[in-house]
Amino acid sequence: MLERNEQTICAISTPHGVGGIAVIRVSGPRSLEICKNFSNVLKNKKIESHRVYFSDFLDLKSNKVDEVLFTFFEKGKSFTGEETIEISCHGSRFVTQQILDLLIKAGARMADKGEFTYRAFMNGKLDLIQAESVLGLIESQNKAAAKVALRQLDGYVSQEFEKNISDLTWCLAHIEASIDFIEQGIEVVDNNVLTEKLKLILHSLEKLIQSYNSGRLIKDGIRVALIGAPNVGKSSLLNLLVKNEKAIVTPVAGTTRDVIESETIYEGLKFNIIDTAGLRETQDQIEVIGIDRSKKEAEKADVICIVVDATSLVSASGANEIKDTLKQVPERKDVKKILLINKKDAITEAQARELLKVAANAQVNSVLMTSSQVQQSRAEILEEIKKTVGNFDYLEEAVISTARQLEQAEYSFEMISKSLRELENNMGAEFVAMYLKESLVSLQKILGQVYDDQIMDRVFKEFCLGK
Amino acid sequence: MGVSYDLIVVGGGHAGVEACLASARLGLNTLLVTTNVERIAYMSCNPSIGGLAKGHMVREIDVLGGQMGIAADESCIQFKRLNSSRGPAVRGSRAQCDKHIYSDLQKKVLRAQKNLSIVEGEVKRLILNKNICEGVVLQDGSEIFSKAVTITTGTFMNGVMHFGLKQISGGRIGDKASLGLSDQLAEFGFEVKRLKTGTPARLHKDSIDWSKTRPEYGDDVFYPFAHTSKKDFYLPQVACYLSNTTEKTHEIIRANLDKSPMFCGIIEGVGPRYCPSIEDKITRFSDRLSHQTFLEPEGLTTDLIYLQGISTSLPEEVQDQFLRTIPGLENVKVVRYGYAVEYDYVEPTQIFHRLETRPIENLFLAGQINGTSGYEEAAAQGFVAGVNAAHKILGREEFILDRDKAYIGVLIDDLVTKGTREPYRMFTSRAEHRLVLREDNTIDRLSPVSRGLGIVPPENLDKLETIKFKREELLNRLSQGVVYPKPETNNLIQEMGSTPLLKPVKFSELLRRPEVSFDFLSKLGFEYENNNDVLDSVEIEVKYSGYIKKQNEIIAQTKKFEMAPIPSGLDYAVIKGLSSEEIDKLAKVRPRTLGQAQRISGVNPSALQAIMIYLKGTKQIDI
Repeated sequence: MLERNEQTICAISTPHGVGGIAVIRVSGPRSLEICKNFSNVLKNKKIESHRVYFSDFLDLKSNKVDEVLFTFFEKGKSFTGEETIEISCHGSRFVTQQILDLLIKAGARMADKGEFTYRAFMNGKLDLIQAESVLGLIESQNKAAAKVALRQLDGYVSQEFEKNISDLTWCLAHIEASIDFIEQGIEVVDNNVLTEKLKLILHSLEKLIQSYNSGRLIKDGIRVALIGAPNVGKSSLLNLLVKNEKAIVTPVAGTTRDVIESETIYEGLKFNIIDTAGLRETQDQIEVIGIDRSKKEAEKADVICIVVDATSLVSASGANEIKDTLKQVPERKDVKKILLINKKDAITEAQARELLKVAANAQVNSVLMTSSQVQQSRAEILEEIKKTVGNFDYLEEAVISTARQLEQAEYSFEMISKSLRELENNMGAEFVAMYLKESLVSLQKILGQVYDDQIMDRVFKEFCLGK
Repeated sequence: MGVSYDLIVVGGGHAGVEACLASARLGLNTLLVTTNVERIAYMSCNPSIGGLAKGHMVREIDVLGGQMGIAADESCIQFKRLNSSRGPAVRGSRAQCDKHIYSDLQKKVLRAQKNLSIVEGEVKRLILNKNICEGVVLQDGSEIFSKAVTITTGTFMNGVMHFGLKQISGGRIGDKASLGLSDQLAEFGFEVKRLKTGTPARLHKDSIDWSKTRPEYGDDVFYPFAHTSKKDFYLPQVACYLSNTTEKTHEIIRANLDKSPMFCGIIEGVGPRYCPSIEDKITRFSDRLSHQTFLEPEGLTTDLIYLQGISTSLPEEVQDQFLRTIPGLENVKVVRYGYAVEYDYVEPTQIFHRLETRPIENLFLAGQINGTSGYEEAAAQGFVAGVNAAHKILGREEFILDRDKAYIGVLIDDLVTKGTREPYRMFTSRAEHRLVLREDNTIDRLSPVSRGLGIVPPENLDKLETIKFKREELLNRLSQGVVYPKPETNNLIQEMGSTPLLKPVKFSELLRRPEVSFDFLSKLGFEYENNNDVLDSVEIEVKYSGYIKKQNEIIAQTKKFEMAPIPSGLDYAVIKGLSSEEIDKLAKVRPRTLGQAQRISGVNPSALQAIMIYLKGTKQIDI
């Protein structure tokens, strides 16, 4: 019996379900040997790496199962680093299942979750960030997310960490030298130089840490909750934003009784828009539950758009109305709030100017006059949300996108901060060194340069079969 | 059959001395074979013992029952505590010694030692019965049999001295090289490689214009290495003198680099990067216009001055030329020129932690033969090899110090797991447990171990343990006693320049404040015995407890992994995901734990993952 890691594995690598074609990946030392059982072409031809071979896929009784393309990658030149064959067959579930069954009969076994990527990491083809980015790429649902994942796969983020690791190693080496070479009269690095250098690393880590928020929003989409009194036009706004008649719109207050969620893509970013029941005192049992849910949704959102009706503000005392609405919005520190003054088409320009003045005092991140009746409002609102929620210029820079990377980066940041404090207080170099070493190890963990069992498990258990 | 001993120690340097003493003191009939009885425990290079991390090891050797610390204390002519402005873990003691007195003291101890014989002679060969070492053959063909052999030949195996382009066979000026031994080892399949080291010129003290140099004095307070030594200096204390190279010096050296064997490729051996020759320094740090040098007397009665930091292998006439450009040396008379030595060493991954070789049973190696540099590194290994050879003969358990117990543990673990490509010197940065491996707590760390070994007389150990118990008792009282924020107390605290108390605190908490000392605690009614052996260490323990705790936490996190055992017969070739280089290294080193495997250079983290998965998969590990 071979060791698990020595076995040849196989799995369908295209999405589950019916498609025009499907790709079955076979990886491991016996890939070619196993596939030769099913193809006269493979059996009789000299097989070269990175070549595609058109062939019948025959079962063991030489009955034709499908017409397929075999792509051969020799050991060391494939994604996993092992001998690999990709079989492109027709996408019928029946066909793929038959092929898999035959491969298993011939000695392959089904791949575990994430096993192909795992093997790629084990064979030194990917570092940990790159391995994680494979998952990110597979799961990316929009252009921005794909771009972030691709940049990680290219090693761009790894390089940023590598640079910090190299700078930190420099600092540590100099501190250690200042301790151990006291007798040699070697010029020891000046504390100011050290402090400057460490602050630069700190700055880089800070940017990476901040990028996580954008990275997460890019990956998961931006959750936007529309909150406000009944009948201010939240559902109309939802329909405008997702370009679809998703919510029922009537002039009757309290039409939306439950939470309606729908997504839309704008400039490569995904937005999850959540329409909620209007907040008001009501006896209606169903509506009460709806309002409750609305508040909960608001709590989970990245951005809360507080929608108010421009016409009602003009008639009543605008400031109080805004205040009352804001009061109903759940308090959370890290959530961004945008005040959307809807139905601007129904008031005069002078009234609009007056309203903006009043709104300027509201405790929100930004204020926008809008109208669900005007097509261009969609772009204006989404643009405003994008601007408020995060900095997506990071798309061009290094973005970290997993909680694991964040945790280690934050710990590393904390340790460097501590070492800087020690330096400032003129504490012994050995204490500075202790913190810097910790910091270094956590950066190395991010890239998988030091062994950490838990990290490995965490990274690879998130993968799906066959990736 | 000729004469027979329990253990034969080959070589009378700093490793050999400790090895044969340890063995004889454990009651074994021991023979020391050395090529030159006069040069036993000779300081071939710098006339000093200790320094950072090295001083730590000297204290460790002492508590365990070695001799180096005693000889260093009694021959000390200048004492310094290095890094005294830094934290306590990285302070190291260094004694400059009268090298003749040092050597004489050690010779006297050896001659007086029961169970120990000394013979002058050169070992040509080991007597091997298949893969078991059974004794040695001397130059005259005589055979001496033994149950085990420890080789501590230093730089003597195939030693070649280089004076410029001139080469002379030898391990040290005035001493022959030992030929034959390393060839036999290589024939047996040992990986034998070359290293080099160098030494500076020795100058006549009357030819130096001392007015152009700056005197540097030692400390007034003596912290002897040995627990049995007096707290006062044994010998009069002398100064060293500081001077420096000039641009002219560098010019001359640069113009003559083609005559340096290092630079024209004659020397193949790798030299120590941290103790570079002056040629190296000038080439590597070409922007520096000057390098400092200490002029150190080699003793109280000798005329020889050691020129620290200027080791060289340039020809004699070039040395004459450049030395005269150093202020104070304008008319210098060189008594002995500097030279480089190239010698054979055995890649230390071929030995076990107990310092017995893997290929040949009952053969132990210690000192420079294992690729180290320095008297202290040699002595530490000599001691461990001596004890282990004795233990093997006596059927006792092997003696291994953990990395968190002693620098000696770090030294040996590094050597046998990582190997070395340059002469290995101990640094504090090599110890991940640096904050707990301090000079001041050597007793606490090692006295229980020492009692188990049984070399230090029990009455001495009782004294050491009394100190240890007193420290523990004081620590306990500090963490139990409470200070209340009474007005008179706070007045005293403020007077002393500290912030008043808001709530009751433990005495230990108060002592943690940098400005608070034991002296002050006594004003608040805390009673203690005025004994610095107890107070110093406890104060450090309290003041730095936060850091020590943090370090221990870090270590605890990795401990499970560090200690996870790897089955001794594991066949790495069957583990998927290991490169052939990794398989080679792991098979050679045979790490006992995953922690050791991790330290092997060239073994990647993914390899550890692979080993772990294999062990888990085959249910050979539980972690």
